[in-house]
Amino acid sequence: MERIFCDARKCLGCHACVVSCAIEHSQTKELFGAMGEEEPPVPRRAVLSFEGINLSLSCRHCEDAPCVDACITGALRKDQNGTVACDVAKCVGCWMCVMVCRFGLVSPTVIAAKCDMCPDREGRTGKARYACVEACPTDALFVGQYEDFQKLLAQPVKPRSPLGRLMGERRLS
Amino acid sequence: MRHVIIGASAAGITAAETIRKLDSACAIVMISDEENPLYSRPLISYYLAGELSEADLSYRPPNFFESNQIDTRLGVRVVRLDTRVARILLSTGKSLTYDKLLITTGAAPKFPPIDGIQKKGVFGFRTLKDAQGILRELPHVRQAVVLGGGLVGLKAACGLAARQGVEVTVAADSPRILSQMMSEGAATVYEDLFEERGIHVRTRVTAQEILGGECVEGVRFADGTRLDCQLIVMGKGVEANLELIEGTDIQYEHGILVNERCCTNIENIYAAGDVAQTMDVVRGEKWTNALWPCAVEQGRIAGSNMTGQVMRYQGSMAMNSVQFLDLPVISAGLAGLREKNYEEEIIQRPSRWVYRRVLLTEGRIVGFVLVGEIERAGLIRLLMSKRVDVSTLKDSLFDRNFNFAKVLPLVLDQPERFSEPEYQELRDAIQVALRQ
Repeated sequence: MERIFCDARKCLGCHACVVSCAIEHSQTKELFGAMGEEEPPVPRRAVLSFEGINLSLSCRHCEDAPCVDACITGALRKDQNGTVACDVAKCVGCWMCVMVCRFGLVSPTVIAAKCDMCPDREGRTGKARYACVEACPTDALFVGQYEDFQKLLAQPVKPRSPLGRLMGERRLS
Repeated sequence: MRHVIIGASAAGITAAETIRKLDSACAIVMISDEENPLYSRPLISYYLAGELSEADLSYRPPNFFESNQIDTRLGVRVVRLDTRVARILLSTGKSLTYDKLLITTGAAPKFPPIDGIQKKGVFGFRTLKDAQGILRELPHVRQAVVLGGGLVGLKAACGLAARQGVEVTVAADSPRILSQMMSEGAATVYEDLFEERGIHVRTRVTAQEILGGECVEGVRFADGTRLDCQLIVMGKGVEANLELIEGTDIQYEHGILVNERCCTNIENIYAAGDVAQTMDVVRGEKWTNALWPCAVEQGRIAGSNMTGQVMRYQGSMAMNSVQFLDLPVISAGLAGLREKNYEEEIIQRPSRWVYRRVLLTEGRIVGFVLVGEIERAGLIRLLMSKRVDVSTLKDSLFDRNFNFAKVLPLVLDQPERFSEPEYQELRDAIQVALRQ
């Protein structure tokens, strides 16, 4: 299945993906509108910082997804693409999914907020398909099958982007 | 190959779905004593409160049975099981043979043998029928009493309190409500909340007699006090439905004993859900954890193994998440009032409606409860279920910035424990970056 992976060699930890995710899941879908909303939109991804490495992470859409097992309403289901999505009309906010998520990546807002693979962007292609991928200034976020991501990891990273350097990238070659 | 599944709630439905996914040709027969079993039992309190309609309780599409080619016998009970000839006898008088049998007969509310318990107006709170029965009584109910301060009782109490004009009292034997989920400190948060919202809480009271003629008129407690009421809901816990296997050669204690494949001591008979007694990863012994997430997972494991695809269950644990009157709580492991098997506890109560407690033994988490702010629950539960030493982490568990990054060193160092493919993917990405 198609998922979003982060190449930690390229991630600056700039949180652009986090911000764009929150905007994408806001009512107005634009920054200043989102900031003014009564219920501030919640990002469905987080940046992990670990021993000088940054990695942007969202729902892994786990093979045996514990959140799907735990959901008492059937709101969380795996669709035919393997995406674990939350049917917001069915979610009652019991937070069983929050209790069992192996990555701590379901947020208890009014409904279970998690990566939904940007359903409102369906029809868009390339980088624009997902808000986080589009926002990443260093192309650290990769969309595809895991096997393809492994191939990418096997290759050396391309020379750093000027923007990356500007934003304080540490590992200059 | 004919798979027969007795029971059609969380475990049974998930097993049937799993079997069909792995084997499109086999026959699947499901038997349920309910006419319409496709609803979620944990949601009946929302139905009682009037927040969800009957249709909203469904967790699978209405054509689930047809689309999965499942042959159903609904409103039918299984009255006898003969394991020697692999045959069951139905309440209709018909019999049915099986190649593989899955028992998901669930559990039933306990009705203690107190005087008057059979009176009209005394209900369990487990099935849609229970909730509908309560709703039918409601028009002439002014006061309702919930016996038992556990999760089910309190969900019923909240459901009843949402209906105008019903005065609700929760009466518990134990010194505190929710005594299986939490200890004193957290329970007082809820006792305060319930009182504030008009639900009375009485603890350390044991019901001795249900008063009235044909219908309930009140309840008398062992201390001599009494409460007038026209409705009683039993929230005294559940017990596994074992009638069917009593007298057979299937082994059971509090539930049907199963191995890590959810198989009983008889090779072609499986059990899952509230009726099954599985290895509890925190307790280290077999235990009945009658909980929706456990039932679904066990159903998946049983279904998979029934088709020959071996899948091993990691084990169950006590865990629950619920939101009473908008205040959420998540509790897991040995967090109850009577659990004393821990060496160390960390407690925080930063504000009136927030309470956190983690219990540790030998550096490992053995239980926790989070009230009010529940964001970190998944990670704390992960650390508990993996039985890892959290000595280096324990002081930061409740920090606002506690996230998966803090767990990463353990995931990197202990691939054998964190063996799910999703963790392996993460290790690959991190290790490549670390080598850079």
